[in-house]
Amino acid sequence: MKRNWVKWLCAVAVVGTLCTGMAIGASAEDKEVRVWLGSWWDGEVEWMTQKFAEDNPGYTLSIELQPIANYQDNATSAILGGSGPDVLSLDTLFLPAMMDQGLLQPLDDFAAENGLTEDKFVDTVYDAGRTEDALYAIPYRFTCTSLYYNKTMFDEAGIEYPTDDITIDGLCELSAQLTKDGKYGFGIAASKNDMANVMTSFVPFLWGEGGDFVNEDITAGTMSTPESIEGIKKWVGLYLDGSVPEGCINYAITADLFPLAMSGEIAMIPMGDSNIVKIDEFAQENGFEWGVCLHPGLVRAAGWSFTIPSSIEDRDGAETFIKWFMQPEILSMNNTVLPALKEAQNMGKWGDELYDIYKKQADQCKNAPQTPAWTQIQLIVTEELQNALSGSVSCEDAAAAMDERINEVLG
Amino acid sequence: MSNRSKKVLTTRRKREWGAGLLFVSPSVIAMACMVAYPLVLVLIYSFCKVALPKFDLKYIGFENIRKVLTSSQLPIVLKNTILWTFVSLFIRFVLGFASALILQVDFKGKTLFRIITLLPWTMPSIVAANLWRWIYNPDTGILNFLVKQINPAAATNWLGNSSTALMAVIISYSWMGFPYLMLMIVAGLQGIPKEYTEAARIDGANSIQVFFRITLPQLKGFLLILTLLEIISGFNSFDLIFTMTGGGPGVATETVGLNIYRMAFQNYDFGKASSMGILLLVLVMIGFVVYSLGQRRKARRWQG
Repeated sequence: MKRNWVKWLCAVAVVGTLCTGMAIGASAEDKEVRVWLGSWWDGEVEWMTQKFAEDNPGYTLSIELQPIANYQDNATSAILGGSGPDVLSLDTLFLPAMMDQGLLQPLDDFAAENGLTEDKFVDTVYDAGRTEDALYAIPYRFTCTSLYYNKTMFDEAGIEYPTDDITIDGLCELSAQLTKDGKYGFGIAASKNDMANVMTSFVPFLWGEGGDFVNEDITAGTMSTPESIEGIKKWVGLYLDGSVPEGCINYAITADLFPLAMSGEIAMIPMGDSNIVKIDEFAQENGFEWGVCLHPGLVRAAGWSFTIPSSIEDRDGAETFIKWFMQPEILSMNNTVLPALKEAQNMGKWGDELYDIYKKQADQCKNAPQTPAWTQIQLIVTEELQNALSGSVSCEDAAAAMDERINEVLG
Repeated sequence: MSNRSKKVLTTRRKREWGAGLLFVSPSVIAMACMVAYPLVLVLIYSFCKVALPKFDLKYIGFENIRKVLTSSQLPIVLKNTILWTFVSLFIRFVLGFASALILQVDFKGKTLFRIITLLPWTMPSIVAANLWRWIYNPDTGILNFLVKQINPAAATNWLGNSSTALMAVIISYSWMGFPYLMLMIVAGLQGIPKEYTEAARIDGANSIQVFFRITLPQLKGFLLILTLLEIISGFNSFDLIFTMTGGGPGVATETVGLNIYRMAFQNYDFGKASSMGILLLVLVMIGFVVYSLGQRRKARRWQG
């Protein structure tokens, strides 16, 4: 009898503990503002947290750094699971699909009240966060790629450095000339697990030849037009001719091409503003000279924006953070990304002439098509480009397959 | 036993059962929430158009299933998944068995051997994937470096070539998973009474005969469970492929698991992703039912 009592007591205790634990967990309250940023913001967390707390009494900032791999998927899962952050920073490429799925809250009123209007930003990144009905994103970062080149490798080959007026054909010629003795003239990125990089690498060739992914009203694919095919042929041709490393079919820009450029294995690569300081320091330490000029063709306008997920009911903390960080003097204090706010682009280290090329390149860039189907289009284009690179199909067949599949998605 | 004693016994049993049920109730509720609920939800989603962010459902019948079944990529993806699962299962078993048998023998450096063979299993998949990417790298990788020393013409772009990419990721996946099988088989081998092998040896059986007549039959049930677990794990896993090739080049390494993930979290098509999941579930279940029926018939024949 005594034993039974003990058993019952234990059972009730187990169930009771579980229930109490749940109740305690649900009652926690605070004024913490949770912000998701990419892992490359690591060096900024300390000052941002301190300065935010000083400038905004009653709030604490909690920055959660996320790796770029699966960033969008993790953000989606967190929002749908109700554990999304107060402020979610997103790449411009992620925006169309997430806006379309209702995962983000409109920010029109907030932007108007705080003077965060279009005229103050690089227009391409501002446009990326807007639909016909509403504004969903406030851009804080603008980036694009310019053409990095290793002067020492050019000198050794006795070839003149590329200049701002270099064409796509000129780039292909230089690449062929510089490829010898196990070193390569140029590098392309075609890795299927970093499709944004594939687009960055490919679009200057596509747009430079006058081609595009879809028609103006985004109802049909246009990859099999003569202009688009020409762009595909030139990009794929670099690989088939052996003017770029063989591994490029699985390479990403920062993860693979950048280290090869640093070690002097590749003479030219597309390079964003965040890597330019690293290469400068590395070149000084390792005794080689480098230069940068405008990338031929039209490059992809890229950027990152602040958004407020639909799972957030109390926007107060989120708005306080965005308003605070978007002040030019605060935004320019970051050492990681080139600001999208024009005023901040000339403040702090961003006024350095090292970054002038990116401000200049801003006039020669454009956005990827603003459609919720972009993620699927990007996948289709990458898969078919890889088929062409691996020699499984011709460029014409790959282009036809792209259009067929894009039309299916848009249809 | 008197009626009164029976009554006391029944009441005591009832009390014990009551307490027991209360004890297991948290687990039962947890299992129902974590297994049954998602399964039912996936089944419902597969017949609906799912609108985010509130998962609003609109019934569309078999439309999602039709789209999945008529996809031009489905045959390749299914073929890749079957190859990925069964070829890696075979390699894992061969490596796992070989290592486990080596560990049965006493030799100098056995501890070191055990540690080395366990290393792949302890490595996070992202690290292992990048390690193998480096090994297979056609420009700077160690594999091509070695191959070029022997026959330069044989060097290739292992992950960039449609005909070698799948086998390359299968080898990496097998390497990562064989230590688990090795550990399990070691445990199984230790459970076989030594008298059996000793008796067989006295009767004149050689090592091969002992292995096929004593060891394997004794491990049969154990290996069956391991096989089932490995098949399920193989069908579902995709993290290594995702990091190494992203399913490319083209769709050369695309598997069902990767496809489901992409449909749900990149294309936001949870309905189609659920249909694909159900299709996978049905395929695996058919496989198991056919296998179980075959085994039962075999057992009856033996008994008969």
